[in-house]
Amino acid sequence: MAARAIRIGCILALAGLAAACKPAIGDSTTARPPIALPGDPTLSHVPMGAPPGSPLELSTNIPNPYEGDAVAVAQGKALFSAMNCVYCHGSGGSGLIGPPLNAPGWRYGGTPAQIYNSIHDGRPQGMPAWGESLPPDQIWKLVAYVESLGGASPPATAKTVQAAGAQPSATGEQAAEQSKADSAHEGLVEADKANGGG
Amino acid sequence: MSAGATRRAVGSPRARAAAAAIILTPVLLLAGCHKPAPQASEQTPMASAQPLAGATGASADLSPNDPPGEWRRQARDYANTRFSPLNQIGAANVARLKIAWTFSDGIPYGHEAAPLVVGSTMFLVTPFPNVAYALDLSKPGIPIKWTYQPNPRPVAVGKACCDAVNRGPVYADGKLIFSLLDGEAVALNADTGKPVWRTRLGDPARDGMTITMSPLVVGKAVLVGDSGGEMGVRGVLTALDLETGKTLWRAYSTGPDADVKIGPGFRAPYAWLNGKDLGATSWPGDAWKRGGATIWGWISYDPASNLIYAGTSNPSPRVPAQRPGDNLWGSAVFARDPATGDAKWAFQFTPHDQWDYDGVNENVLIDGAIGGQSRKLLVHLDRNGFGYTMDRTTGQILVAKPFGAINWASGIDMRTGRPIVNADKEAKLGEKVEDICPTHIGSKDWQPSAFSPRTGLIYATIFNICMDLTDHKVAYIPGTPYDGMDLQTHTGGKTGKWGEFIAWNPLTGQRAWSIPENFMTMSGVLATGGDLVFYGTTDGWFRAVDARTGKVLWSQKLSSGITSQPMTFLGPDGRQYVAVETGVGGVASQVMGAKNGFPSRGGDLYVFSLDGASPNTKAAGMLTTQGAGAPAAHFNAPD
Amino acid sequence: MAAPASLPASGPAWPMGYLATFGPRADPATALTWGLMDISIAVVVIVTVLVVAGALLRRVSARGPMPAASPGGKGGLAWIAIGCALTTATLLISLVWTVQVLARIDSPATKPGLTIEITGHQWWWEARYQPDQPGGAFTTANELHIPTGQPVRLKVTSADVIHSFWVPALTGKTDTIPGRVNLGWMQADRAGVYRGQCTEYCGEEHAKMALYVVAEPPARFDAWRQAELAPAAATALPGQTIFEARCGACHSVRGTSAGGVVGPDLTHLMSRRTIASGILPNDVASLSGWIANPQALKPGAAMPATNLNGAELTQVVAYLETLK
Repeated sequence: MAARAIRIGCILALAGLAAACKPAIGDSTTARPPIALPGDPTLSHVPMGAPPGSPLELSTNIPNPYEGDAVAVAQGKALFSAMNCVYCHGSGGSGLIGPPLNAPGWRYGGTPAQIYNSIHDGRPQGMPAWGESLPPDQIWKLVAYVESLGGASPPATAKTVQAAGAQPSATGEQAAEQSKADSAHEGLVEADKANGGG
Repeated sequence: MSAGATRRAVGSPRARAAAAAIILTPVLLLAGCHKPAPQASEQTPMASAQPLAGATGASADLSPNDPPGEWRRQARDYANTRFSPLNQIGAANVARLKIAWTFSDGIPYGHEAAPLVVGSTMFLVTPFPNVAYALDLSKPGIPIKWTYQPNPRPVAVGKACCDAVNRGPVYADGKLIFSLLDGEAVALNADTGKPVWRTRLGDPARDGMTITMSPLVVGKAVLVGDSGGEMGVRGVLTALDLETGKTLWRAYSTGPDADVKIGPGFRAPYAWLNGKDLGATSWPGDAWKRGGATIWGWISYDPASNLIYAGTSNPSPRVPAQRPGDNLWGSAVFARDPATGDAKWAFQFTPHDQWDYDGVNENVLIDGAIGGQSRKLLVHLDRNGFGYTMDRTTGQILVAKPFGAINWASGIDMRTGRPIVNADKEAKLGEKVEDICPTHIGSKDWQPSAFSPRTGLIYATIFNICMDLTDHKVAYIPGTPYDGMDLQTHTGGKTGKWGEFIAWNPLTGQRAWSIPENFMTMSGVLATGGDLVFYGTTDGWFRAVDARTGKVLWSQKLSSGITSQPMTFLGPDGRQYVAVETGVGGVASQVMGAKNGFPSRGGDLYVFSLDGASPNTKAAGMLTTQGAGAPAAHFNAPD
Repeated sequence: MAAPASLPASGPAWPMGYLATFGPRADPATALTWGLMDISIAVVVIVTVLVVAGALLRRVSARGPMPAASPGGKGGLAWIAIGCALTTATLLISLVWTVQVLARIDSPATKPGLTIEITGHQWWWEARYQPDQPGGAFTTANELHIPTGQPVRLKVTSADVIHSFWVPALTGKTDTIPGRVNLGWMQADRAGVYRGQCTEYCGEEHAKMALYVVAEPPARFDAWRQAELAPAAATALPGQTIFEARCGACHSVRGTSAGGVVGPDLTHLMSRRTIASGILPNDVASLSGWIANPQALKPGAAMPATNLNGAELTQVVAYLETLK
């Protein structure tokens, strides 16, 4: 009688443990927001008067589904090496053959959707079109890593990740540039909030 | 001269000696006097190529002996001496050198070329987008005669490893010929600027191939190489027909003998370089198809033996772990027949190059005595830090001594020509190897040295930079770098100086003197018949140095750093001018760009003359641009 | 080169039996295992017999009360002395035997002619064959071929976390540690197909990280090696173009522009018996299913859902079928 009770108890306990176990590494099957593709054609429009790189006021400015996901940032970093990004953009995005990713002032914009498009479609001065080779999930992970390098916009995201201990800026000059850009962006963000835009 | 003539006249030996001295001294002084700098009309150019007393004894064939006031190819002559016989400007008056006029091309990419002067026209080709200008030197205002905008494809900008540079045009047969970054070569009618032919040699969008080198014209052949050793591009030297631009022959740098054009007439100087299909068997599998060994440096030519000399880049990928073997024929030099491309001999400077040392540096052709015997020589200051003096008919190494501070090898085994590699400094996958000297760009990169037949010395700007290197396994993804090297640079030794200007004796392998510089020195060198050598620094100083003593006689700070090649010419007014382009970029910006004091980018041509005099200056009154010249090329400033 | 069907299956019915071994690297350890077990059984039996005998065999004397213990008790001490001596001798023999075995399996008797560099990834095995001449190096994955009767040196490392390389019939466990290269060796004296497995927990799909070692007579092995060295023949199939564009960033097929190193080298995929690191047979159905949705078969694997549509999938599989 007692032995039977013990046996049932063990089975239940094991079942409970199994249920509690979460898949750990490399998981892409548990509950995540559905992967949205930035198919909105208006994403390529730059509104009149807005310089490239300023946050766009678009209703379909898709956020990165891996926003704030440290595992995705780590996987993005592995992809950044494996896909040879590091040999064009420099380790930590410091810039080499391609432009630096750890400093602001991006020709094609630094919001998650804009970075996604740059990686997916390629760009005229030699950025390859990775949309052929990488599925959306992996591109979003790369976006997460690129955002963690500190040059992307909006700078609020960059600052948050920086505070959590991500890549520092390369030089004093670039840090000064960035804080100048930051205050300029903050002004815009304030205006956005006042307008109720998103 | 004996004192015998005066013997009977004077008695004691002391008095005789004094008399001899009194007679001889003025004679010797007069003989030793230099002739005053001649006016243009009485200049005798060949006299100013004569060796000075105390010279090393090395000389050079200055073929094709263009008119002394002209500069028709980047290296001035086939031997690549970069020596001009002009001597109006010399040690005595160079302190009077001032800016005569300037010309801006509006392009921020690195400037690595020299302008050409033919007759009274100056030709310039800019970095990407490779606009060509013809300037009329005969009219005040130096108006633009014509411009040509080739509109190369911008995809090339993201495939060029080391900035969107161009190392200059060549003038031949009434045509101005130059390469375009996106893998083309173009020939323009030099009078009108209209294209005569335009040939595509490769496609940067497909495999990352670009071209930055300056073609050389030998006879009816236009010799064009390629760039992309960092992209897995296969190295190839192409000869195009001067009239039509059609391909005459192509010689690859890797692969079976048929591709490399190694045939029965080939004989390498050492046993390990003679064998069948070494360009394939010294690689794993078919890795030679992406083997790099591109031809992006200088080509020299010896008319007497009818051989061209061209070096190859690092083998691909940059990390050596994925390509065990010697990796022939990367980091090597070829001697080829310019009419057929057939290789006569080849030598590999850095077998199984683990540090990206390349072998593309210029091969200066000189003649000199080694071991008491007069020999036909080739001087090559390699990226790997060794200054090689070789027999240019066979490739045999006669002298191989370090010209910079190095620790990757302890010397060259003179029996085989192979370096004695220091095992501590070999690259390791996944492990950081510290303080490898020199760094990947070597003790000296592509920036060309000059040779003065008057001193018999080689003059070069070199680096004092070392690296910490970690290698990573790398994928081949076409259009992306086939790289794997992760490195950080620092200065070598304790001086903290990144650059140095040296005078090198090619017959003994010794430095004659040197000038240390705080910043990298990455400019070409100009040697003149006035016994001056000119060089520039990456922080923007342009200097004139006494070629004999190494004393800096004149320095001028310019708008941006200098990574281009100085040249000198005679204007239509008979004056000697010295010209150099500013606009720092290239690997100098990659290595030192973040350092305090490193200049910003620019793109100006500076032309200097004594007192800044030229038809473009007038003491009083206004001058205007004459001639309805063409407008400057307009294009969007790239950010 | 198709997997030869004529090779005999190895060992006992279950694939991972470590008590049936087929080479000098594993045989001594197996013998020691059995030997120590026999000794242990003998000890247990002897001790049990003595205990039982001592408990059951009591001398019941009708003649009166138990005699008092005789002073001295020499009989009891003798038993202790005998027992200790036997135990010490047994342990000493076991020790010496163990150390001898360790010494014997530490390195092969002859210098290995072949070196294989094995890198553990999450969750597959990369193998780089190192020959004597530089022209003969090649990379393959998940299925190793070795010649019979010759030792093969193993240099194992890991690309990410700690795995452990184990082919029970041929060799012991060798951990693959990132940043380190561990040395091991193995030798198969009998031709056959031997299954291996990762034996250090390394993540979600640790259980699905198998490999196969095919031991062949040296002549057949050389033929296999020559075939592996050759690059894949170029085809005009549309599947090749799709493969190069969509798969080439992660996979290599020598002879094409696909040169990725994140995933296994597929130059001679069809010469392998299994795919996905030993968990699926290498046939069209499994291959198509794997490519269509790797996450369903091995959730968490680095290979993402490739989003190929039906037509593309058919064409890619048709191309892969040419990679013999």
